[in-house]
Amino acid sequence: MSTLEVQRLGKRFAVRGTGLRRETLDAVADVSFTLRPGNVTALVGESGSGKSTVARLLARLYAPSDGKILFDGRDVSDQRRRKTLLAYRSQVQMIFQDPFASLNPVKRIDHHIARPLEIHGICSHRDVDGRVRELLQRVGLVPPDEIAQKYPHQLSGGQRQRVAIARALAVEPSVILADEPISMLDVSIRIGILNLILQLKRELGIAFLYITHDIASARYVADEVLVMYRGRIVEQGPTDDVLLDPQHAYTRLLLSAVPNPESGLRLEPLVRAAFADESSSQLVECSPGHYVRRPA
Amino acid sequence: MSAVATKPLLELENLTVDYVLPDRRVRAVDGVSLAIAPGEILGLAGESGCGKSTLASAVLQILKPPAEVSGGRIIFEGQDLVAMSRERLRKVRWRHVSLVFQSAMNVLNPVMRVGDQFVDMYKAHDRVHKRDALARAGDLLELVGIDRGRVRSYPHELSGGMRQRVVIAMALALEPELIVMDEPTTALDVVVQREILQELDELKKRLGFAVLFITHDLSLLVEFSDRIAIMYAGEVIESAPSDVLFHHALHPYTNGLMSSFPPLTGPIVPLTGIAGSPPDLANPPTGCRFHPRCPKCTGLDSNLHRLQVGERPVLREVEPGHQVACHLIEGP
Repeated sequence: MSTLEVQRLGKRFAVRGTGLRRETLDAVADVSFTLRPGNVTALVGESGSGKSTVARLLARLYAPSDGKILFDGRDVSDQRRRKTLLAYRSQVQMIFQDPFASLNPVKRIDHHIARPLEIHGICSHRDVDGRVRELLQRVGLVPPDEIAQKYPHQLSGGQRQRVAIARALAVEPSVILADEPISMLDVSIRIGILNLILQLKRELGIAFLYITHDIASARYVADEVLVMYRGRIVEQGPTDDVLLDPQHAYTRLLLSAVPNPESGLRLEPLVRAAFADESSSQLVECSPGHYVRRPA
Repeated sequence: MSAVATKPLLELENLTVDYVLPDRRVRAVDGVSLAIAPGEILGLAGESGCGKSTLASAVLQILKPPAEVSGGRIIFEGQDLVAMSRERLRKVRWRHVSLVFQSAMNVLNPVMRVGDQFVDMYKAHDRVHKRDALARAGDLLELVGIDRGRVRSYPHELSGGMRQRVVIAMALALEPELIVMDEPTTALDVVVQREILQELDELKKRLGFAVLFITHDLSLLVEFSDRIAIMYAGEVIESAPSDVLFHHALHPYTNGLMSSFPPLTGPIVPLTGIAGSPPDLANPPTGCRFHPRCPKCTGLDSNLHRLQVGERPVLREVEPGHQVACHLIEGP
C-alpha cells in the first residue's frame, strides 16, 4: 500500500479581471499532511474553507498552484501525461457527497462497477461478473445478485453511497478521498457508512481522507484530524489531542456548534476578525504531533 | 415543560394524507394526532420518506395533487383548516401560520431586491404604503441579525445563512402564532445552523410564537424543542417532552436514532445505527412497520413475534405526556 504526502500545497483561482488587473483568491494555501496506509485522516471545516479543493487537488482534478503531491515519494503534481495520470487516478479514488447524482440513472448497478474493471483492465472479461458480486458483498450490499440487477432509483441513499464505494474499490486503490460521504444520508444509516470506512481501512489497508463538517463523525472514524479555515490548516494532530484539547479558537467554535443536549444552545463566541489574516502565521507544534496555527 | 393544561394552538386529529396514483393510493401520513400549545416548540423527527414534509404541507393546506388529505382534521385556533374555503385559508396562511422550507434560500426571487420582496408580501395581506413596508422590512432584517441596508441587496449578494435569515424574517413579518419549519437549517453549515437556532430561540422568547420544527437530526431537537414526536413510515411512534425522550426513550427506533450520533467526549464505542433502509410507503411492512429493522424483533418469543409482524401497535400513554406505539411496551 502506498503513502500520499502533500507538501505546502496551494491553489489560486482567478476571481475576476485579466492580465495585470487580475485578482486571485488563495483557495488553499500552505497545506501539508500525509495519508498513511490503514489510516483515516479527517479534514474538517465549514463550506468555503477549501476542503473540497484539497480533495480535488489530490485527485488531480485541479493542478496545484504551489507545493508538491508525493505519491510513494514521486512528485505527481505536475504530471500531465495521460497514462501516468490514469495510473495515478486508479490509485487515488474519490467518493462524492451526492450518491443520487454520482450514478447513471439508466444503467444497472453492475454496469457502474464493471466499467472501471474494464477500463483499467483489472480482470479478464470472463471474471468481471464474479468480481462485481465480490465487491458488492464487500460493501455490504446483499444479496449481490439481486442488487447488481437493480437501477439506482431502486436503492436508498445509503445503498447508493455503498455502490459508489464499491466502484471506487473496483480499481484496487490505495487512497480513497471521501468528500462529505454521509452528509446527504439519513442519520440512521450514516453510522453504517462510517463503519464501512473503518472496516475497509482495517481489511484492505486503504488510506482515507475523510472530508466533513461534522466533527463528531470525524472523531468516530479518524486517526488524525486536520481543521481547515479559510484555505489554511489551523490545527492538526492525533484525533483526541485535537478534539479533546483544542488549541485554536476556530476548532473550539466548531466543537461548540455540535448539538449537545447536556450543554444547551450555547456557542463559543468567535471574533472572526481576530484570525482573519493568517498569511504571516505558521503552524507551531504544541505537543508531539499536534500543531496549531499561531501568528508569526 | 409543555403547557398541557392550556388549549392547543394547533391540533391534528387522526390526520391521514394519501398520494392518489392512477392504480393505487400511497399513504404518506397515517392517522397522526399531535397538538402544539401556544408558544411551544414541537420537534418532529424522522427519516426521509417518513411523511414529515407531507405533514408540514398538509398543515398549511398547500398539498399538491396527487396528494390529498383523506381523513382527519387540522384544528387551528378552533377552526378546521381541511374544511376551510380557499378564501378563508388565504387569510390564515402567513398571518397566522407561516412556513420556512429547507431550500428556503431558493424561494427568494433572484431578480428582485430583498426589500421589494417584503413589500410584495405585505401588499398581499395589507393595504400598506411601500415606504412603510420597506421600513418594516428593515426592522425585521435587524431582528434576525442582518444590517437593514440589505433591503437593497439582491439574493445572490447574500450568503446562504443570510438568505435563510431573510426567509425566517419573512415568516415572522405578520407575527403569526405558528411557524412551520421544515428542515430550516439542514442546508447550512454547522456554525451558521447554530447561530440561527440561537436567534430563533431568542426571538421565540420575545415574540411568543409556536414552532413545528421538522428535521431528521434528532440531536438538534433535544436541546431546541419542548416536546418531540418521532415519525416512522407515516406514523408517530413515540412522543414525549424532550428531556424525557432523551433520557428514557422507549421505542427501539427512537433508541436507534439516539445511538446514531458519535459522542464528542468520552470513549468511542462502536455504534450500530439502524440496520436496513426506511420502508417503501407504497408497500409498507405488515404489523409493526419497524419490525424488519427492529433489533428487538428476534422471533425467539413466537407469541410476541406473531404480534409484531401481524398487528399494528397503537400509540398509548405510558406516563403523563409520554406516548409509545410498540408491542414490547406494557401499558400503565
